[in-house]
Amino acid sequence: MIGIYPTVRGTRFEDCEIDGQNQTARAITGPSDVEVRRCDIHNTGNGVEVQNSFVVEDSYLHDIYTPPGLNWHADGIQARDASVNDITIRRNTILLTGPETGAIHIIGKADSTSENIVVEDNLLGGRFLHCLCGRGHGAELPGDQ
Amino acid sequence: MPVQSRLASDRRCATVFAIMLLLIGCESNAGPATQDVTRLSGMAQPSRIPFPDSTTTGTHGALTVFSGPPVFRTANAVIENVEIRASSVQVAADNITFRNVKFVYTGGVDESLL
Repeated sequence: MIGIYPTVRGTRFEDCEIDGQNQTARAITGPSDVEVRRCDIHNTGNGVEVQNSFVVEDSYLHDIYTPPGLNWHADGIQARDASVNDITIRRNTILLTGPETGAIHIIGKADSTSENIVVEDNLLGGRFLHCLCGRGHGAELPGDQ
Repeated sequence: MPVQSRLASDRRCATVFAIMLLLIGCESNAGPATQDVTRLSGMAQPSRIPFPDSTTTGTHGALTVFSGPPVFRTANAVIENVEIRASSVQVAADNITFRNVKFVYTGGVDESLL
């Protein structure tokens, strides 16, 4: 629904609600340098889909959805790039509805390096946290339930 | 102690230990979904806050319906206190902030990136 152009940086969402009406595959999609705080994102495919370098804090992502017959592999939060870096996902509630892929899905190439990925103090419901980041360091996953 | 007796004793100890672990696990999972913030704040006394839900996130107060095209091309703009009903919202400039904005998708099934 909300598309950030590939060269754009510094987009912020604060105290927003995004209702995808169970029709759109992505609520927020963009390249990098995106911040999402205290947002209610629901009834959508991927809630936040950013390639790299983003923050999602204190937000409620729920009713992540895939329409019958489609294959969206929806995630609450998805990061996918050749090398994923500088990601903070903290103090969120992320609830799926059933067959979706994962509450948090972070994936880089196996031969790439990934640094500064912090996922902490989130309530994740439905399915899994995937973090396939290749080589790297600085990844922390404490306190998630 | 014979080997058989020692094995039986070890099994009993392992069983008791497993039950204790289960009980500890049940205890830690009891109650509403909250997080212990003592580790975050360094406070001496435990303090638990709820995880985000619809009462702590999203918009608040009255919103004005946004009437322009939902394509934002002005750098450093702040869009706030509006409701945007659209099938596509495009962010085309740097450092744009959306604050207290409700977005409602109005199109059909859409898989596009922009």
